[in-house]
Amino acid sequence: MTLREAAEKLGLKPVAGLSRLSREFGQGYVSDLLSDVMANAKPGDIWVTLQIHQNIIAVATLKELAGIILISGRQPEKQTLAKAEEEQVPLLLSDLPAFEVVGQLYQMGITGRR
Amino acid sequence: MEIRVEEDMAADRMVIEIVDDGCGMDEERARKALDPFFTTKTVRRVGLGLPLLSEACRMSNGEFRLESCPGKGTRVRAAFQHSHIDRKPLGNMRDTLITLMSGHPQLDLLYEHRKEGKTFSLDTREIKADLGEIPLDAPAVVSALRTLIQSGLEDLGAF
Amino acid sequence: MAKLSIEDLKKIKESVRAAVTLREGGYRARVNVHMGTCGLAAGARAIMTAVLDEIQKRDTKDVVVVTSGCAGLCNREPMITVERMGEPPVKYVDLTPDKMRQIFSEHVLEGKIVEKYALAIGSETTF
Repeated sequence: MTLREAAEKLGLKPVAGLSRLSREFGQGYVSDLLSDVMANAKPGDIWVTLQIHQNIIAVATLKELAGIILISGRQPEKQTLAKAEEEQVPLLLSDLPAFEVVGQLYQMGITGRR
Repeated sequence: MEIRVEEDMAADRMVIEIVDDGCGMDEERARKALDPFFTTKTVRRVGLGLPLLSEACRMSNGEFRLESCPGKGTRVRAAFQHSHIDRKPLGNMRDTLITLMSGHPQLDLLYEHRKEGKTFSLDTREIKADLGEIPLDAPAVVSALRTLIQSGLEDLGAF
Repeated sequence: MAKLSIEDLKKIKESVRAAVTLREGGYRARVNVHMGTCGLAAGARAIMTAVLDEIQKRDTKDVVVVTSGCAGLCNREPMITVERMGEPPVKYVDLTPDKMRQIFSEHVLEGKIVEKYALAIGSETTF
């Protein structure tokens, strides 16, 4: 599935990294502890989180993640948006809580199993 | 280098202060130090140490301050609300100190940890004076220091 | 101020003398634990504790542990490099404390490289 397709199916709003929305992804990781993501996420994962600080963009580039979905209507900080644009890290917003986002992705075939 | 940890239960505050007499940073660099995409490393574009520390302070209702003077050194002050549910634990300071000391035996390190009116402190200059020619990173020294630090921190209720 | 006791110092001096007579010219091996932020996030601290525990438990007198920062291979952390005196350095990746202990007893102490955990076997020695 591409990020664009996921955005359409889940009603996500892409706000940065638009040039990379045709990126394919098949796995995901959900966590709000950056140290946990750094330890356990895999390259190409879509990351679901409530963290809005610019450090999430740094972690996403470090781990080569497909993109970040921010949940529960959370808005990225100004710096986060700026960095996401600069690094072209796809940032997509959802009004849904994490459990719901992950559940829907899972039903569409995105797994988290290694 | 000085590392000070103060756990003030009455004020509900934990403060970690790290002071060095290194080459320091000018204002521009000190500002950039908190940018996760600024680093002097050559293997990666991302430097997360200070950004994550300052974020950890923010998330536990604390503050982060970095002061630096070129040619003089740098002072980092990380404060946290001690009882905040999102405050990350201090962790295994015994092994953190051992790692620092044995990894950098040339470094003069002073560690001071205060909690509930008691203090544990360690000065590698004194340790090295007692050891004479024996290097700080000699395996036997590392083991002895590990035990010394552990009992000191246990007495403090910090291990 | 915490200080090493007279007892401690006596024991250390004896131990150092013993180590020097065991191995001419220095240490048997050096273990370098990578401790950049990515390594720490992945669990490098537990690896450090495991190797320090092994040294203390076995009373090993001639293995030195050092640390280094990020090596750029952040997806394979925690990582260590084992270098036995006169032998090429070996990088081990994706470590756990148990793997560390195994590497310690087989490679560090006995020179048997644990190939299934190794990433690369270097060709230059550094000490």
